[in-house]
Amino acid sequence: MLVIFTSVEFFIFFPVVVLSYFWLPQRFRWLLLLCSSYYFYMCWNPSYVVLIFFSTLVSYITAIQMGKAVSKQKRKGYLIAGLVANLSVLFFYKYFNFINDSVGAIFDRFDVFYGVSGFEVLLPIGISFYTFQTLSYIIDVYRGEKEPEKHLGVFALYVSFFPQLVAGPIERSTRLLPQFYKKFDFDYDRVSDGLKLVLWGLFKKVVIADRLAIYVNEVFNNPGDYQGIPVILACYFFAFQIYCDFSGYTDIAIGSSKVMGFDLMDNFKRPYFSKSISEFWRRWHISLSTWFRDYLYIPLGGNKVGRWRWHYNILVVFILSGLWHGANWTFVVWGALHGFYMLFAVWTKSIREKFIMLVGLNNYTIVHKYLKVLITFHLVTFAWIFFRANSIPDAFVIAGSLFKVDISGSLLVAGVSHFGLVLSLLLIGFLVFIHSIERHEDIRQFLSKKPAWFRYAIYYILLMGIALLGVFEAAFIYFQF
Amino acid sequence: MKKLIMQISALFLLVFLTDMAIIVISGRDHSYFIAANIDKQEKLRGTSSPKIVFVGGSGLAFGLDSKLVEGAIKFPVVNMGLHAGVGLKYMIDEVMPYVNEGDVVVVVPEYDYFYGDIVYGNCQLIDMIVLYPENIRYLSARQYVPILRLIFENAQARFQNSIVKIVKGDKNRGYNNVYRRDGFNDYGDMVAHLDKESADVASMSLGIGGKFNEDTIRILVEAGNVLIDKKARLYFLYPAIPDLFYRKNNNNKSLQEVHKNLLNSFGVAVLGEPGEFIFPVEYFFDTPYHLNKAGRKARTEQLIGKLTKALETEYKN
Repeated sequence: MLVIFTSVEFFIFFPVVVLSYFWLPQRFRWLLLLCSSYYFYMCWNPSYVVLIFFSTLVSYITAIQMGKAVSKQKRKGYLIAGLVANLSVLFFYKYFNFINDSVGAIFDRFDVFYGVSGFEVLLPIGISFYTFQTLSYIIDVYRGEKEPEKHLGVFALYVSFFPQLVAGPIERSTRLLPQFYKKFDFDYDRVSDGLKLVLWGLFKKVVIADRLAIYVNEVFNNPGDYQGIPVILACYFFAFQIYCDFSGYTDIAIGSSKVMGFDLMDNFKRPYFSKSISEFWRRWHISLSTWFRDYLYIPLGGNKVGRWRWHYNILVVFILSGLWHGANWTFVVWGALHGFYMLFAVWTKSIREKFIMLVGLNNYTIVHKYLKVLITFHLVTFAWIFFRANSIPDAFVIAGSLFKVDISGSLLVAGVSHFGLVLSLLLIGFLVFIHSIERHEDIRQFLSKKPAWFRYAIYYILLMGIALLGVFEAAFIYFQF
Repeated sequence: MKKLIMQISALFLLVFLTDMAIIVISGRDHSYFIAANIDKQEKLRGTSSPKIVFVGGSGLAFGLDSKLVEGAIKFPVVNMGLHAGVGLKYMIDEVMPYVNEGDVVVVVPEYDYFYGDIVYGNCQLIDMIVLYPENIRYLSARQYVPILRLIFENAQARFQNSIVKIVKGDKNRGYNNVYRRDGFNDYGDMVAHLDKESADVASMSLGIGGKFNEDTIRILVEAGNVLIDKKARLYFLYPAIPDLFYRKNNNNKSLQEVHKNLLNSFGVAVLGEPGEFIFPVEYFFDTPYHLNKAGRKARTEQLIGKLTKALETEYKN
């Protein structure tokens, strides 16, 4: 019985947990949430808890020992031990077979025998997320930014907190851990605000993302069967699918947490309105991009080093970010492409500024702004091809198919009716409309100023939208990471 | 907290009532395909034993020439094949009260029943109940469990069909307008498609696989046992699918899993193997399960051969 956010099981599980949470005295709440989180995780696969508990215990002990250690040498030793232990688990379950197969392919190429066989392992759901969360904790303790958490149960809750366990946001210990000690009473405004976010997240996921997925999956799973406009449409659709899927999940995670009083970080800030790739990464999967900034990019020297070292740092961070998403060369290429975009922006900055002056675009700030948004969106959408494609050759087939436009060809693909296609386009339009409103004001704040009848009409429409237009079969994309 | 719970409950109730209203307002279309159920039930009740009753989804409806079977085997034939979405459990429970000593029940279910959970019915089951509320008597307790979900699915399907109807201005009768109650002949065979042009079935997809549904085997075994008690017989026949899809996407591996599970179950007489029931894709009408005129003939002849042999063996024993 999987307890995913769009399942009936979650809509039984969550109210039971929330009601129990508010009913219990504060001193027992951590235990309820911990048991609920482990139960939530075990519903995916009971054996997963062994790994998450191992990661929890190792990180807990590492931090405690670092706190006790007097010498910097010893602290560093514990840090390395903690990092190695956590990363080893991640490496084994997620990357061993990928690296092994890749090395084997190289040996095959040169007709050299390679006898190392892979392992049949199930990738534990959420491992990339909670591993990075524990790593950030260990590093924060090492840096002296966080005191070691003494309460093993509360720390275990920090690692396994069910709203953000399987797909983030990746929370910093300095932010989330202290909240587990605070007492949150039932507050009508806070709880209803959280539920509104859950509703909006559900709508984005089951109405928009999963609808778009039907078209996208048909094209990307059958590269070469489609060319031109259907491929272009599939690429645009995927850009919105992945946004709605992931941000929808995040909204449900943040909303569910808010119901109980916990404040999780924002993970998305209307990323497709970014005017540059660097801005995009300040607005997309913020918890991951800030993680890489704080724990990899800055320790590597960031931009405080020589020019070429700085460029190297950018490329390494983006390649590793790609690899974090999955053990497949498609993700590596996707990450590298974004790294290249960043570097290209740096290399061409002065040329672009001169060009803008030359054509007078600097006199048309709004046109210039929208042009930048459009270009950034298309660069990101093009890179998504590699993210979504099942393999590198497939990605190149799809990218190549973009330019074989046949005006007389059908827009439809197998499994998608005219109704489905028109609905997909209307939903994207609706999403863009909502985001346009949010340029000036958060939509929930906008709604809170409206009369009650208006607000309830909106909630009713969203619920009816989910009931009448929702697609309920697909998993969340980021669960596979 | 009470205020919030009341407000949420009221909203959900409103949504549920809206869905029910959609189902009621969109009406009971007695000219639609599924409405033929009542005609088939009438035929079943009115046919004397010993008889052959075919049970299955639309694949059976489209792919059987009952007159040919009747002529070859010399038993009156009733084709109860209708829509896989009403669920195998319902299809079997619906015919059981009318099966008597000496009858032969041949189950020809779509492969979807062995993977996923449509064995207990999809939103088409709600269509059936809305059309003929008296059919509720054939539902088992297990089928009431997902009823809320099915109501939502049904309302969704009706809402979306209504939008298409409003935009296109005509009733959605499926490919080439064949999905009509009057598209069936007196035996319960779908015949409206026989002289129509086939769709490009080769461009479609058919995925068979996932988590194997043990309930389907259990339902078949239970049915077999009931029929033994009634001194009737149960045979299982695989549905016809295109050769193209048999080889694709590991479908043949899934079908071998189905076959292995059936052979290991007691009380289900399986006539043949999945690989024997694959036909050229040109034999299919508008889906990978619906045979066209040529396919229907070839499939019926094959079925006659299988059934004749099984019945002869039975009589010898």
